[in-house]
Amino acid sequence: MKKKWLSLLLVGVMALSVALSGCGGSGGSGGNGGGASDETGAAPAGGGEDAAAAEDSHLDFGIYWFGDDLDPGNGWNGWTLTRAAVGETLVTVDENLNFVGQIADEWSVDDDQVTWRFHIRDGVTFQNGNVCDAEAVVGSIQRSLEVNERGQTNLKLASVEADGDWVVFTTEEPYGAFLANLTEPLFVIVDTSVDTSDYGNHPICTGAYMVTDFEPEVSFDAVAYDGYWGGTPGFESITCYNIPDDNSRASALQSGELDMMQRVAATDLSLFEGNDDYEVQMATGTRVQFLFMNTQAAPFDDENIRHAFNAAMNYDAIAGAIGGGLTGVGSPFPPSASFFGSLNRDTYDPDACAEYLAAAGYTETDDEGYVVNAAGERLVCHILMSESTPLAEMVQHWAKECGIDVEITLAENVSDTRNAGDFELVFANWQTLSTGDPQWFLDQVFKTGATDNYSGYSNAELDALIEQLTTTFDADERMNIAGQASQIIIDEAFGCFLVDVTNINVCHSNVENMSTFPIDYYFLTPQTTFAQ
Amino acid sequence: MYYVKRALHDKKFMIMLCITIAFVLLTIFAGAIAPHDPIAQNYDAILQPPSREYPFGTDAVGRCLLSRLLYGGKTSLVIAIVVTLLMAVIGVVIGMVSGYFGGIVDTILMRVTDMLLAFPHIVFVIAIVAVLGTGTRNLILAMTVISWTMFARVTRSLVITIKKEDYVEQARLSGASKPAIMFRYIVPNVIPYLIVLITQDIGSNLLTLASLSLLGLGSQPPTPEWGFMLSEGKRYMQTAPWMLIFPGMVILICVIIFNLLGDSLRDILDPRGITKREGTSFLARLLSRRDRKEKEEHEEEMA
Repeated sequence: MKKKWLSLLLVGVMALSVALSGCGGSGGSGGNGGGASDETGAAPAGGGEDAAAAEDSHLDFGIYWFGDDLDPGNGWNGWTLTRAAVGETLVTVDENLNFVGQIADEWSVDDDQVTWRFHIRDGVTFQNGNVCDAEAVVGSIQRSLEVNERGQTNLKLASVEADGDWVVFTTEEPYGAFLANLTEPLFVIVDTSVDTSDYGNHPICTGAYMVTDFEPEVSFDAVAYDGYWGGTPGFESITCYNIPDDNSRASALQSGELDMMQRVAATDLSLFEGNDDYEVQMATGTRVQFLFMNTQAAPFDDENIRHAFNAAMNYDAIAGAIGGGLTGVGSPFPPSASFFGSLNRDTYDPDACAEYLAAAGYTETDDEGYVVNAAGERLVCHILMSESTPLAEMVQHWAKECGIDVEITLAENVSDTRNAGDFELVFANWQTLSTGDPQWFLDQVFKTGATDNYSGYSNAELDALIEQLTTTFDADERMNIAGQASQIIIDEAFGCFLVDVTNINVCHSNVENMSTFPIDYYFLTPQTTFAQ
Repeated sequence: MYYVKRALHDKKFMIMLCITIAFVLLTIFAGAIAPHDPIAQNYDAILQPPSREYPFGTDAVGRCLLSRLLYGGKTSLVIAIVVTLLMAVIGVVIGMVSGYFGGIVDTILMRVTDMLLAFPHIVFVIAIVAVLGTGTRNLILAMTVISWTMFARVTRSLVITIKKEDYVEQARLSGASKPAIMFRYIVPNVIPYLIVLITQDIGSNLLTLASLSLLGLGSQPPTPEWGFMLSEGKRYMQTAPWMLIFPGMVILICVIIFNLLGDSLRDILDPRGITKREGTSFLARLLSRRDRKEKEEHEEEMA
């Protein structure tokens, strides 16, 4: 009998230890397979204990997205390089959405409005020691244009050449978004005088850290570049981990595997806020979460229905429920846009909603509180998405409050269906003030026939305003025009603009000078370091 | 009558049966018991821990988790039971035909079964759902299409064994027709085993359903469903653990109950009640019986 109890106890202990080790593993693995857990398993030696970390000055930090490699010319992969202070562009955008020089220290546009001149900063060198002069910059820009079709779309470039210390760009036509678009990480300057075939693993840029080892999907290591023009970087070496899952990233920070991480889910904010061990930073982002409304098909081909839907949304309640400092927007641009305050934005207004619904023929309500038209049919809209989110269920809830029946249709491949225009409502989360400038978003989404105008929006006045942006160079005037364009979008109800996205970053309190930018493809800076 | 009498005297079975019935009743009368509307969002009570008003806490949009679990039981249990019954019917019919007629029919049916058995179930179901689209009907279809194989296999081996029993031979010699033999002598002897299997399979189907919902292939929101509730809860693992704990616990308890019920049913329906005490499992016994028969067949052939 005694033996039996003993063996039972043993089994129990074993089961418990298995369960516990299981928990530990899931916390650190970072949600991207075995490779990640191997990597993060080794990390605590350098980053786990604060005292030790300060001595050898190695930073482990986590971001939520990697491209397939590190070549800035490939897809959107340059975004990883600017997040990790590896790659730099001629001009960059600071915390207040102002343009500041990086590799260029001075720039101007000629009176002909097509010639842009950038003076290359003295003393900038590539991480292999080669001098980064005007010739080198020209080579790099040309490479970006060659390898990525987004390059020419963004710059509308006729020619680029070196003139002493200056790089001279000539655009095909006056293009007001030129400077802003040049800050996009696609145009991270790389050394093209050497073999560039391995830039997917070891790009040679001008930034504070140079990549030494890249493991796709998992992480890359980088060391401080001694010859960096901006002074000595804050760490001797860094490891940047790709942890897409918000929970896993937060757990990795809590367990000490990471010193610093980008993007905390609003739901996890309470883990770090008000805790002296962590520093939380928030910045109003440049993204907006919105719903594309298909204006080419029922029911949203009816402007009244679009307005009714927008008036049914309780923007502030939704933002408050998601938490994390979000605001309800009701406008295509977030509060970080200077004209945000002057817009006549969509607001929650059930009475107005009822009026719009009545105008669209939905005058009665049925037993369950849904509005019906003369034929007794309900107003049913479908949101197409791959996985339901609380945001979707909130939209469903508020629509129902006003009698609109919203169904969530789950589908595996949303983007193909969306691109084919076969949808009613689709969620989107866009950088609307990408590069600090409004034109890109307007161009891509609202212009008649534009690539990402899945909803078939078309408005001549709006097109004219977007066209006018192209030839406007004064930053204030550009914002003014974008404001007018936004008002048209709101008045025509081209989409339902729900909430903005707050950029929230967290680090352990021993990390100093962490930065949080409105644009989320900036994160680590050369100034970030450990407290002495 | 014999079985009923045995059942009434089996304490373990009666307890399990009562718990199961209580569970089913709870979900049937969810509307009367649930303290709140399962889909009503309450923005003043978001992510509340368990309290007097919300015994199991609330979720990210302020819905009562207890109410959602009660209503969700309807969806989860109904799907699990329907799938189990459907696959039992399909599997039993195919197994009977295959086992009784043998020959080419048997070969074809069993090769199809082998083929389906070779697929990892969940991957196959995901593929079907991805093609047909999500939704309760497609989910039931997908789960049924792949899972009848087990029933077919078991039924076939039972039929083959029973077919060679003396009483069947007797019936055949007395001139009973094939359908008569099947339904009067074979089916009644197969059913008790199958009832056990069916009961236990409800549990495993509940789990499959939960995994599919967790992957976002289950029911459509806002319909409450246990697996889907787990999937909603996983992003609040640290900040609102009750969103994971309660649905997880309910699934766990439900699966255990059905398994134990199946277990005690087996004790009752087992015609030679002693086997359990001997410690031989149903499957082991089945296999040894089959082996013995096959060995005999083999010896006959040799002779």
